[in-house]
Amino acid sequence: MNPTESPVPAAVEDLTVRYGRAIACAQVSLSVARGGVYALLGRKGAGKSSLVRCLVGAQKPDSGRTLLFGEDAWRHRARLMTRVGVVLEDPDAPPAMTPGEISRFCARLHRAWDGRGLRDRLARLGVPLDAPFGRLSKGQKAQVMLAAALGHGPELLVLDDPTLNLDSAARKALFEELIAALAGRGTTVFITTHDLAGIEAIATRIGFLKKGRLLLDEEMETLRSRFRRIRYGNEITAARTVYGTELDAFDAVRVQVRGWGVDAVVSNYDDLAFERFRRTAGVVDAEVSAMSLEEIFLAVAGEPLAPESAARGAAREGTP
Amino acid sequence: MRGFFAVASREIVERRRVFVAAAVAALFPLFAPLLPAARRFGAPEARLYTAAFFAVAFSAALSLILGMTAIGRDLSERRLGFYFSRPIGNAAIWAGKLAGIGLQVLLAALLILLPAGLVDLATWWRETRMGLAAEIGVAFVFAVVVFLALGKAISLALRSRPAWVAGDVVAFALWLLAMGTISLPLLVARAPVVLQRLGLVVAIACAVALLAAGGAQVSIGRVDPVRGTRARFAVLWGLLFAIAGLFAGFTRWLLRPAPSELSSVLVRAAAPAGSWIGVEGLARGRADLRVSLFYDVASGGYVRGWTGREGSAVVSADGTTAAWTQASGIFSDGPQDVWACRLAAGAPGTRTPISERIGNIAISPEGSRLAIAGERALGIYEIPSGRLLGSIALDSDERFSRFVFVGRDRLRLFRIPSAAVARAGEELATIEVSDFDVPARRLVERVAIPNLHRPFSLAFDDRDGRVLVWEKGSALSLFDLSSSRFVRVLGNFAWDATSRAFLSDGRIAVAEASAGMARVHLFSKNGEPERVFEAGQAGLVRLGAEPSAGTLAVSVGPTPYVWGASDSFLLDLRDGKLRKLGKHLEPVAAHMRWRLPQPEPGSAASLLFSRNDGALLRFDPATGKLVTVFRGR
Repeated sequence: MNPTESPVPAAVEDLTVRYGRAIACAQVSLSVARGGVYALLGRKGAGKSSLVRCLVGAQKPDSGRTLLFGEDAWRHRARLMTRVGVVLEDPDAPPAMTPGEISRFCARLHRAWDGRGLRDRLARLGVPLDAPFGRLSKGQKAQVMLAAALGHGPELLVLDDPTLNLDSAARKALFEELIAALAGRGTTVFITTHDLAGIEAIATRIGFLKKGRLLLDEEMETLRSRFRRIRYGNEITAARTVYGTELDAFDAVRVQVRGWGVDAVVSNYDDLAFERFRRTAGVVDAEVSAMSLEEIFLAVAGEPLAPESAARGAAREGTP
Repeated sequence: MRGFFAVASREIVERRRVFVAAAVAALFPLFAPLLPAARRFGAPEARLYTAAFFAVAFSAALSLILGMTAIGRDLSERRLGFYFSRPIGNAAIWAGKLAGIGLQVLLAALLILLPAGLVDLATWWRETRMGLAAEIGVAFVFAVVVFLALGKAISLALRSRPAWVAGDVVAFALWLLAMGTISLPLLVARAPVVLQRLGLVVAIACAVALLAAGGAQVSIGRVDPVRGTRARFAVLWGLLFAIAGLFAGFTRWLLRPAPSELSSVLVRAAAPAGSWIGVEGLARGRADLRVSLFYDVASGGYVRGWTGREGSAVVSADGTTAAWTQASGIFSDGPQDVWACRLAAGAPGTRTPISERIGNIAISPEGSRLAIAGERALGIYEIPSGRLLGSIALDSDERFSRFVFVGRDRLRLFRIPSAAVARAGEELATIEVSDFDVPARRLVERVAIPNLHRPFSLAFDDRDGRVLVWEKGSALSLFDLSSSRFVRVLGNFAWDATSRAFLSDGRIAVAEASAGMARVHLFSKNGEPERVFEAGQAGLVRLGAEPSAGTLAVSVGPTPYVWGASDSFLLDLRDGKLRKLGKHLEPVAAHMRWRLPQPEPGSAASLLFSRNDGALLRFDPATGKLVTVFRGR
């Protein structure tokens, strides 16, 4: 690293995590730019939580390393946690601890602790301050942990599937809270989630993790701009002797031949190339459409992010 | 440190109801004087000691519960992620939890002690000065550490995966086996102080290892249960086997003192000729553990022997071979192993195949055979092979047996059958003497000495086949076993005030203290009176051996039965001159008359004196001075 550059808030270098013979992460490398929101997407069991635990120094990788603000997270975890807010997958505060006690506990650890902000936030969300953590609902627990993670004004916020097991209202509230929290601070966020709809609005960079392998790691805008769905009809003409080469100008991620024509997902879309494609002999009714994050994930990973996504996708495409 | 204090205080706050329970428990000791069992104490003492008991018991129970719930559950249910997401050091998380629990237990214990202490402040102060506080402190620390670790171990065992539990069980079995094997010699030695101290240290070390393993599980594993369990397993068993290794090393050190470290020795065996003796004594830094050596007084060479007080030891007459018995297991009435070694070679002892419940042993003069009195039979074995050469059935109701090799192939037995002829108001006994021919495996009856009035005592001259029988209230008589005849009455002496010795030239010496005066009577080989030597005013006189031919070691004390106050002299049998050797000294031969064949002049056994502080000294005929062989207390 150039010493004149300030280190990125979070980076993962050749990270490998194994559990016996099973590989949770295989040589994963990524970095999170300052002020950005990095969303790591992947199905359950893809290795997201292992990566997060390694990232915050709670778990030692089998090889590779994770850096927070340029320092090894495993070695310097305690010191680095003053600059990082963490919400792990399972809200894990001691069951007898009330949110108020959690706030007081954290206040002893952080020089700048916004206890009032935490209380206000939880009060706004209807989370009781004097109820034991173990008796709160899952949504309330998630809100408490998020509030505790934000209480010291962290430079980096690491959230491991904070919306897991939450209903849609709670998910919405959490993301709104997150957006509100980020709005005035410029906090860097690393988040893993299944909730593509929620994250799509705030993520600046996206990573796709499948079976421990990072399939994609890209800026959100680039991702959106280069992925397109192209649908067209293929006509048989006298002048046409070769079929199936019309998409050669694109990197076709997925091509499906359907009754009405061809449905293709391309990963290097640009308008000029599409114009040329549209004028190709035999290509008729070509149309291009932007893709949602969920559709891109499905195209790249070859599987939906979550079971309900699969059901929605299947219904949309009219496949049996 | 902020993290440490935050975690510690959190532990205390989370379980603050413990203090309510402690406050309730603190009331019970106030009613202790009402209990019938407490009536033999004063009311303050009853309250105070009940409170102390409650405090320690409450601490132990609380430690066990907190070990299972606070630490074990956090570890096994992965609840530590909350702490690892905060700026708290790894060590601070674990240490903070332990400190919080420890402080909570301590405060609860003090809360229990407080009311009784306030009610009986004066008694409390008095008992504290007498060591009560220290005793409670030791019990408290022991209870907290051991029960906390135990609770954690139980919790982990219940919550771990079966593979790890199986691994723990296997490792625990191996560790127990190792510890049992290492500690067996100490258990056999029956040294309660050493065992108690070692047990305490090992228990605390194991508890610390268990807690350290928990610390490693937290620090290394953090929120990764697999890595944490692996770390816990490696650290726990690494430490426990390291403790076993240290324990083995320390046990080896305990059992292998250098001769210079021995003190307060007892001479348990001695060669009638030569310079080898078998000694048993305490050693520096080893508390009450008694260890033994076969020691060459002339060269300082030694061979290690048995441990503890139990067992028998013999050295062959030519001083080349030693044999001894050592319990096979921890039970004192169980079988004993027989060990043997060639002293001249300086080789360590080897265990022979012989193992049985042994009463006594005797070794042949050249050290190739061993006679062993078991429960039912007396066996003659070849050593070190352990081959049985012959055996003699023993009567179960025999009241006394002595056996001694009078040659390589001949074992002499002295038996006193219990079926004695009774006369009105008297109890009579017969001594039966027989020889066992080892090659022929045949018992030859030699002689019987009948109609002896009980009680009586005996002195043996195995070299010339003579026995002195001294009947209480009657005469001291000489019998010749070779010709099977009564030789003569040597005289009438006061009971319990005489000592007899067969001299190297065959003459007989008898010492007595009567009417406040000590005398040594010298008789010819046939028991005819030759001379009487006056040894001054004394209440006790004992005969040792001959440091040189014609010179007899004598100890003279002011009071009957009090050996420690005796002084030692050398009596020149030619001119009757007494030369004082030293104060509070006893010739070793005087103590060992029963076990030791009459030592030859100039042998180590004839030159050794024991001092009343436990020191063993050797008389140097060349300089006429005493040299310390083993120091005293």
